[in-house]
Amino acid sequence: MFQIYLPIAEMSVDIFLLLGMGGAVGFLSGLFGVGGGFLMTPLLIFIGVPPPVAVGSEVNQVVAASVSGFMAHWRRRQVDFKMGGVLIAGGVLGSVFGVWLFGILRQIGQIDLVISISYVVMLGSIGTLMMVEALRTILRRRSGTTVRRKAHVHHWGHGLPFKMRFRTSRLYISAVLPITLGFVIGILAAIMGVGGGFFLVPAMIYLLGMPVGVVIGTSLFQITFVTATATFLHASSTQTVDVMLAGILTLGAVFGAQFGTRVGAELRGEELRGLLALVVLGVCVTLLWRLVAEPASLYTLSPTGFH
Amino acid sequence: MKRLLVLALLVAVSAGPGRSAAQEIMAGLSHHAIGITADFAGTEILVFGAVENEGDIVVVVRGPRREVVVRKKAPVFGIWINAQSAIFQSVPGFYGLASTRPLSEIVDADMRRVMEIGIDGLRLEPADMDPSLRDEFRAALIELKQAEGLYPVEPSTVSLAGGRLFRATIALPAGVPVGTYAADTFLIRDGEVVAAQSSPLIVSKAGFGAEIYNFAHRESEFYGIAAVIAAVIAGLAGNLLFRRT
Amino acid sequence: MSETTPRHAGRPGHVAGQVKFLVCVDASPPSRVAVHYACRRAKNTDGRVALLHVVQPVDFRQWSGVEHMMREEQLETAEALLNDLAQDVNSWAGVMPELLVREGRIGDEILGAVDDDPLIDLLCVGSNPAEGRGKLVSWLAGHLAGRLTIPLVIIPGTISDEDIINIT
Repeated sequence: MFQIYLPIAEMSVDIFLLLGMGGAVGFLSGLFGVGGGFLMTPLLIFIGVPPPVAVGSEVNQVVAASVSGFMAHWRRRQVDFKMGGVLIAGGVLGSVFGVWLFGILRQIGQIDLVISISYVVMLGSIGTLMMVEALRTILRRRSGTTVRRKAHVHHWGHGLPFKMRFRTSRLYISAVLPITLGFVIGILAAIMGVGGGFFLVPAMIYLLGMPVGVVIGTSLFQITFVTATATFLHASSTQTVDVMLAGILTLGAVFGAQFGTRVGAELRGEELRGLLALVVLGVCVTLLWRLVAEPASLYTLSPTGFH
Repeated sequence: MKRLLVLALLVAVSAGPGRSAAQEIMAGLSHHAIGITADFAGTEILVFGAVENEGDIVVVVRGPRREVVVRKKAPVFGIWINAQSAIFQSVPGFYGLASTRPLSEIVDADMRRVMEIGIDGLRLEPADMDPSLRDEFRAALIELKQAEGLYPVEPSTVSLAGGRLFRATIALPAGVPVGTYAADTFLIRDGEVVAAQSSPLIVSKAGFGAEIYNFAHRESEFYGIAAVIAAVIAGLAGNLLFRRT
Repeated sequence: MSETTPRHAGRPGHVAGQVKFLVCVDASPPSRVAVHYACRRAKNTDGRVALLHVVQPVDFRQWSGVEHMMREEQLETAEALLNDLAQDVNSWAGVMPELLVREGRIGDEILGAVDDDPLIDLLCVGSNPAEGRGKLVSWLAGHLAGRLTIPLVIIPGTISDEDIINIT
């Protein structure tokens, strides 16, 4: 019962609820090595934080969650700065576009809807894919066969112009691919408040063909800078960044993530991944239910124009 | 035509105090500034004063006017989506009223509309809207405001002592908007407003939360940079705290 | 007393007087110097050499496909590194070393390797004086001192080949 007033969300929340949420999501992110923004934003919406403020504040928290990982990989020289730079260029463009779109959607009263639908689609596909992957591996383990994948296959993307050499990644590919990828991640950061690692990492491996050793470091490099850009843009144009909220969540997440990393080092296995898939799908269904259930009041009131 | 009438009346009322109405009614407020802190749970304002001759007294505390939009949800492919909307140009953020007798016994509906006395007297007309939908959205707006406690449903009473001294309390709930309020006192006799006085009341945020809020809204760019720097420091500090080999 | 009982007393495979060196290696130059030191001493004592490389656990677990690919690439890199150093061991000591790859936190895995093989008599680690107190070295000194049951030799990466030959 220690209420704390969130000045931008303009509401009072129990501080231990926020710390607990930060801790729980931080634990999962430590366990699975992903940011956790894709779970935190819906949870904030569930406790009554206005969806735009949930997005603006969560993107601010992702900066804190990714910067130390980026530094650690940098020290181990596992960052392709040239590739990261190209991805960031795309990401900055994407977040500028995303925040602009966010402002328009807010003006016409559809931002809450767009945030919710984006989450339903994203969590639905991530959850399903994870579940399929987990089940397939469990079945395969039972039947005792293993499959080796090929990392780098040639595809249509290699015919594109503006080829660039990325020495660290040992790649000679069109800059159009990473710029487009960065752009998409930038939009996700601006509209949904996520870092996007869950999507960026596989895309860097399968689409760009980067060696996996530098993928995590480079993705964290990009995520740190793009979420920082999105935070700045949201703060200056939509005023949805609640530093108090982001700070409390970060405090909880720091401890949760340490615990998660430790547990993750001991535990391993598809059952764990299946569990995360269930959590993701659960959040997805809850969001979907809020969209289709008849609301208590059909009417909503909001001020016009956001200065 | 109506507008002109209102204007004429306002001029008459505001020109009045200089000469005679100043003696007709005198009113004051218990406080002229309210600070909303993190633990603000609402407060009460006391309006008090004296009248020269007997009559009915109505006290209105009105919050800052803002343009608001009311949206109505409708199912589209099974999903509840904001469909129709109405923009209301100057909606008081708060509207609290106190009177000596029930309002309907003091002034008639026309005068209530002219003076904007009583919730049903508020001129809330959405711009460019089908008249049939107008009333629906107006009712929805008032209902939403009432649900938030910003348009108290039950008016309070103005108590008169000796027919000359009056006092009334108006409760402000926790969620009142910030801005400049007006506390208007009307003296009404035979259905006519014979004197009026208006006192300003400032409601603003106070404390640490207010500083963050003001920083975020007044110096948004610097606030954004500060938010990023704070996150970077928090992230690195957290990492240092748990440094592993 | 158990403290005074030789670690490998009565163990199969143990040849009296033969010393087994465990060298922790990574891709850095000091590792190679450490391997050189161990090889020289092994050659002089008719001893044996084991190379240990510890890989970081894969911390990205959301997609099992990605996780498996990362682990495979790590193991491939580790194998290449160890094979490279094995060539050096062969030319310096004239024997083929035992090659070990373990996954986990580096300190725990070093202790684990020592515990798993009672024939190991000596632990060698290279250090880089240019970087000041090496992270691994300070960790070993701080945390292993109480738990390690064999001598630990720290070989600065700045020692020249001649000096290695001199001190062995």
